Amino acid sequence: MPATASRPIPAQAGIGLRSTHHNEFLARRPNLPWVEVHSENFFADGGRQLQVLDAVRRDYGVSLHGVGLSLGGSDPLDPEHLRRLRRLVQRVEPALVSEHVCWGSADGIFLNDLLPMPYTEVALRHLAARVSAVQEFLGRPILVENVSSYLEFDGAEMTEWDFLVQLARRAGCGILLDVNNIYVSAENHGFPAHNYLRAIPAELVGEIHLAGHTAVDGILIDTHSAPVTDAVWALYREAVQLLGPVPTLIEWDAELPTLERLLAEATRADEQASLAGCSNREVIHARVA
Amino acid sequence: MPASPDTAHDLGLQDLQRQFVQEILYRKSDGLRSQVVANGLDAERRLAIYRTNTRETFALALEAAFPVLLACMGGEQFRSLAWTFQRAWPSPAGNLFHVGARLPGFLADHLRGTEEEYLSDVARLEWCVQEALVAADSSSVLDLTALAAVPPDSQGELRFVMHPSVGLLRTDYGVFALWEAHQAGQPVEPAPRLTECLLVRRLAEGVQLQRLATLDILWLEALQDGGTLGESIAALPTGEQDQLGALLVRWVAAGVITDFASGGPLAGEVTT
Repeated sequence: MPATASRPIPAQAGIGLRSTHHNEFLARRPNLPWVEVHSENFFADGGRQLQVLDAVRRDYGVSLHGVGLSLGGSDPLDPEHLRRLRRLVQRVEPALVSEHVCWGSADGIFLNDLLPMPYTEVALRHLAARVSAVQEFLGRPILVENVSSYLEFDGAEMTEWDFLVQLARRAGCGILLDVNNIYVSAENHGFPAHNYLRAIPAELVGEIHLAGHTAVDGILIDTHSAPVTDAVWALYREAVQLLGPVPTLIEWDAELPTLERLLAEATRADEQASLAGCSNREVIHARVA
Repeated sequence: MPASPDTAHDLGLQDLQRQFVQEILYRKSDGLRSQVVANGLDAERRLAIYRTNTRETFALALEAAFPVLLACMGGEQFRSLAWTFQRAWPSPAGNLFHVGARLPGFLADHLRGTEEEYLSDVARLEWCVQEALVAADSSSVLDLTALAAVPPDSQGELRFVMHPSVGLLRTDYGVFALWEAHQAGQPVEPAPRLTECLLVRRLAEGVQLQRLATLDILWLEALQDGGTLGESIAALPTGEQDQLGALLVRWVAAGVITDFASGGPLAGEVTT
């Protein structure tokens, strides 16, 4: 069991580290402050994946990003999933832990997708209680991420951004603001992305995500299979101007590029933040961790 | 079929999510469509995006866990199988690792008596490999001196501990060669009918498969089932029980047996 926490995460760009790049990453030890991994990929009892993460955490800040907890689901939280997450958090002692504002199962059937919440008071209360329960179980605050969506439910009682901010305030969690997801949802549902950004209090945001998306038959899909688009870079610059320096992650999960290309995308994120007037050198994870 | 607007608006969070899941997997929901804001794109097309995503995620998870099966079937047939399987045995957890657990049994049921029956053995072998990959680590090495010090009248009650990644498999088809061919990047051919006994385990350099003689698998299976040394001897064929020493030396030296406990069930074992 590691004796010390993983390194802190500065307000600079990191990359999503995927198994395809594990060997090259450990061999090259790129000059990068931090990485993020999907928590569930390290739920194993042992084996190579965990050994890689143990090695990475010695030299890099680590963020654990969950995709399968179904925070907004109506099924009870899965105790085995939570137990494995806590075990991983205790092993890695990550600088950040995050999950999604979504649901993923009903009646024990999981779709393993990030499904949209109805933006109602009932749903908000439900989610806030579940986030609080998770934080209590883990013994630490988490960040919750806005997802891309391809539909909205009728009967919304608030906007998505009001829902997100209210959730963070009620549960005492931070926000992982996915700028690409804001752009995708704004385009798909016809709301101004700027309104979303301007509604998010800077003190709640602990991390930003950037990724590529794909247009299919007039709708944008959050595929994580392409470079960040110019429109999302522009929105990112606006986000940084509004929020100040924030740790920013490049997510790329499908049609993975070379590690070199991924690192170049992270460098570009730092350059874009500088263009926006932020010198991202301050360690700010403590404001939400 | 859209339900009346009143019914739809009364849907609670749980009902909404239940209907969503039923619609995605089985195209069955009463009031869901009327709960979806159309906004330039009808509800059916919006839901279809989630259906596509769910299918894709599930199929990719299976492809990652069953690469040899994928190579045997080809992408199109595999994807078709994945959707049929997903609808029969949807994902039981938020961790995608678990989606493949029931695939070998599903294939066994569906391919029994067909020319593709061997594919269920391929799937069984690959799931065994997956379990080996995620099993706990162990650096234990059996202490032979301590073992030799056990009094003879207590030896029959000894229980041996195997490395957590060890899996034992009996197949009806010769899938070992098929698996090896795939590892070597060679084309895969349908496996012939051939009874094989296999041991799967994780080493530092990756998962290793090896064929076992009948005697070895009988003994190792008895130990893996939680049997005592005495019970494992009883599992050996008459006339072969004098092979016990050789079996013990072989599998301790190979690192398959890593520890022993004297008397009583092993830690964590359920007793009645």
